[in-house]
Amino acid sequence: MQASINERRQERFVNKSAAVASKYLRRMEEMSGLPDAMRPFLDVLKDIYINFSDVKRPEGTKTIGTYCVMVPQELIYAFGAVAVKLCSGNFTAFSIGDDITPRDACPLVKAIAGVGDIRKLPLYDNCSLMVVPITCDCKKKLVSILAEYTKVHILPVPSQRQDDDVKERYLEELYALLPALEEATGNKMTYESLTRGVEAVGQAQHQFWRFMKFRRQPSPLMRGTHAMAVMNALSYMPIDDWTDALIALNDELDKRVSEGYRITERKLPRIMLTGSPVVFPNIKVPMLIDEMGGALIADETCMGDRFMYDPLVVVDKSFDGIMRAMANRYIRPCSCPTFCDASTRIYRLKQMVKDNQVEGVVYHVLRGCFVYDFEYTIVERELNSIGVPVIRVESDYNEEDIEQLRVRIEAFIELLKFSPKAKEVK
Amino acid sequence: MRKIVDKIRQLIFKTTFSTIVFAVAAISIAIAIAYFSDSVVFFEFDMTPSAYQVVTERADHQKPDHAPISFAYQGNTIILSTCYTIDEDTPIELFATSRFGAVRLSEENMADLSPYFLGSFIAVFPVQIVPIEGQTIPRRVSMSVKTDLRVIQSNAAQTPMLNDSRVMLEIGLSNARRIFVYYGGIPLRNMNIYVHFSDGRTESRVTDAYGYIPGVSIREIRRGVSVEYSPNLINTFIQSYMPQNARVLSPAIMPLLILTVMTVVTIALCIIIRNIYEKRTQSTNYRIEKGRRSRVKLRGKPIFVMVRWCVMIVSFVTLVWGGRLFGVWFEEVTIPVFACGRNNEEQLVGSVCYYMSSLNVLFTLPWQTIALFFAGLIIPLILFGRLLCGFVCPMGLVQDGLHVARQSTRTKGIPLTEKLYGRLSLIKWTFVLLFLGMAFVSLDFCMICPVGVFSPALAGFKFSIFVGGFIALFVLVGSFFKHRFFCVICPLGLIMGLFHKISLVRLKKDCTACTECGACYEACPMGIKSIYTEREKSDVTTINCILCGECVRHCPETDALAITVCGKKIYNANRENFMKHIAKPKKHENCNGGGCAGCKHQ
Repeated sequence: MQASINERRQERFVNKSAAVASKYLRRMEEMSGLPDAMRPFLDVLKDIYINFSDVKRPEGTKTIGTYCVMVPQELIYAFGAVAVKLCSGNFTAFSIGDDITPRDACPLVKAIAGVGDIRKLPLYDNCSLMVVPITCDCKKKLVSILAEYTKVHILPVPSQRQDDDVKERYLEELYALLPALEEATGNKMTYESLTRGVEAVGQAQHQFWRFMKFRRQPSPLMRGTHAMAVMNALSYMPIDDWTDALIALNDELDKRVSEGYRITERKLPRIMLTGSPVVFPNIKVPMLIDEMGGALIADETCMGDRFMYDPLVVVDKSFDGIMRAMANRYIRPCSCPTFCDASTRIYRLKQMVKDNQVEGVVYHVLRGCFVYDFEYTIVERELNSIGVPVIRVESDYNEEDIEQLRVRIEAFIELLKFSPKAKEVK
Repeated sequence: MRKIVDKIRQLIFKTTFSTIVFAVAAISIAIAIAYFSDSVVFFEFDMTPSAYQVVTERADHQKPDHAPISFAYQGNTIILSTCYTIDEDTPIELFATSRFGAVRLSEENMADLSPYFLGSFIAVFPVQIVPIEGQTIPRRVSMSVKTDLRVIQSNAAQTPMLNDSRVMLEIGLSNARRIFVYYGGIPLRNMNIYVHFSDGRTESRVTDAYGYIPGVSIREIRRGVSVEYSPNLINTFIQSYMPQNARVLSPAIMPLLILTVMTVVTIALCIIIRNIYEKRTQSTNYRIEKGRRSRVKLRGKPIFVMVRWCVMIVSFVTLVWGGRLFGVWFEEVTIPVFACGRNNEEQLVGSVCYYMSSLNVLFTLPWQTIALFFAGLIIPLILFGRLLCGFVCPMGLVQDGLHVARQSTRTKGIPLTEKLYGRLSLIKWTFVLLFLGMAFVSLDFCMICPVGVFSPALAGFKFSIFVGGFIALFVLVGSFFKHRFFCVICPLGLIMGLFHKISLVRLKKDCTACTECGACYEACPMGIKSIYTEREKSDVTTINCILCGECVRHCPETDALAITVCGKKIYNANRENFMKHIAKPKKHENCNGGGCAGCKHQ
């Protein structure tokens, strides 16, 4: 029987996107210095992007889809559900979404729209609820697309954060999220389940903090691309599983430290990545940095460090106090450029430059990602003032620009290698 | 219960009109309470010695006490016991200090003299002739018993009360700490005496150059001591001495108990009313099931916090009962904490609050006292600053205790916003005006002071608390819902804060390490926002900072915040320690300790 047009379209989508994902996965596996404990993370990426399976989780557990970094994971785990991050890097879905979104929309949103159009990914289709923080214009308009096929809860995010009233308003938004989560999961939240959620995320953050410290060792212990893959895998794993896998990875890195293992004997320029999210399989920028002889030792992106860095600080142990702590943690230290002032992000970048002894910063901009593009000028000025060169690389969800990016990143790394600062170190 | 609450809710919030009626009624009741509270007395006591009555009674011969003669106190009655056989012709003579000098008390004049007593009583026994074996001349023994009421105990050494040949020897208490001996109206210097203790011991001692008896502890004095002195072979003088001792759980604690009950009731009412209100407004209204007690530790407890609690408890004890335990060592010294000055006989050091709230009295005092006052005020402030608020102030412990009570019951607090602190600062400035100004319009801040309710009552002092009780109720309920509520409106704290630029203990911030997460602002009981918005200065000690260390405790960035003494860090934020408490090692089955991949070990 002749397959319908839609089925053929879906088949094409599956084949093409699996091909892209397996290519990048293979390239990642072929990179030197892959720790053995990376296996669970790569397996998860493989399951999701090549086998098109859903998140591995206990029977009967619901998944809640989230976008950006402002949705409190603790709450979702408190309701006994698994949080998945749905920001997509799918090239094939991007080209589908290209037709149904404006030309200047960012590829990430186009890819999500494309996934919604093709309806072939169980990761998206099985979500009981999607929580969309209104961070940028694209996310705002995305809601209407998502609402066509799934339940969506809108989480308005304020545009500034220092005012106390703003935090109070965000707190009310978080309270409004609770009944929606209750309805979607069918579970009730108890104080104990909430503290369990807080503990689960806290433990993950503690392991992540250890991981960060291994990454910033004077001589790199692992490739930055692999680290990005670890952070990407968090989006598709129950947090406890991720923590357990990360403990094993941290232990292996610890062993590497004691054994004096390093990925290369050469002194590599230390590079930090910031800007638009790097979502698998659009992992070409970190991969190019690694391939061109740079050491990607830190990143300030929402799929990476920003999501896990700031811990929840519970001051008041009452339920309301924990909610307040969440409102505080997800708004105040957040370095997302959706907020009006860039100062928090600038300070955070400067702090990371200092802590990680960063020599150069790669500023990744997805085409159409206005908020990041806007902040480039001020970030460049501020970082240059402390003697750190910045390069802006703009990319899209396709492989056509890869050679151009390669040339630019290679030139930047060469510049760092022969900069007066690097010579001083030698 | 729920039904009743619903009924009340329906009744009150049915219409806008009934809501308005309810609000007006509530406000008018509050105004009425405030208006009449001036005349409402929780519990009043008389502290003049005239209310004391002296009763002599003969002790049971069959059960001889250790001390042959003793004073005892039963409420406002002083009981003199003796097991000596006394001739009817020569009864015990009772003397009391009064406004007319030492007077002999008889059954007739006791009632008339009663209002004029000054606080010391002496019972004199007839001289006894005791034959001694192996000696031809019998010994003449003069015995007397003395007691001092608490009102005069803190005073410096008094001149002898009686100058009678029968009471040549007289004991006095100085600074509620040491006893001294007078003989014939002058201090008994460098002489050999015998001290009989209440437990039957007798020790030989030599008085010092000022007549003080060394090596007698305040506890022994409080139980009663007898001093025996023989100036020659014939005469022996014995005096027993016991100062009045306040019981810790005296009726004076009643107002505090009433206040405690009222606080609990008010807190419960506040919670119920808030629940009703929140159900109506629908915002931030999500009930979660309490569940069983969670084992997850949500916050760490660093050593600094433990030390702070220990210091607070120790200082509370010493500032409330220190004089009782160790004697008043520094009666002239006052330090800037809110320890009630009316408890002057029981606390180790005084509080500046008395003279500060009666400045008109202060400047009539001799210059030495004024100098001592300012030295006691300024030196601790330079050394410690408002660390005294966070560590030493007894009121701080009361408030922290209430905060812990709320934390352990997991009760919702109140939103802490700049608006709230703005409103509270109005109360604070009003308090400052009243604190400094009330004395000049012949009023007394102690009348409205919410702190005066605590330490005197606990120490056993009887005071009426007037309006202060109602303000204390407000403060206590406030401290339950907001950590360190009173510190935010404390008038003394504001004055202490003026020294924040020069004090040696400081709060430092490393602005490059800060991520502006705002946790310090959330944790700060004083609501200091600049601590997290500050981006340039390294010194973030402000006028409001009480150096309690809560911000450092909750700071997740290594070295971003630190408390320094003379520039040396004593307590700094540490991410590793911060993260550890939540990610405590989780044991799994068949765990073989460290190196086990299944456990979340460090």
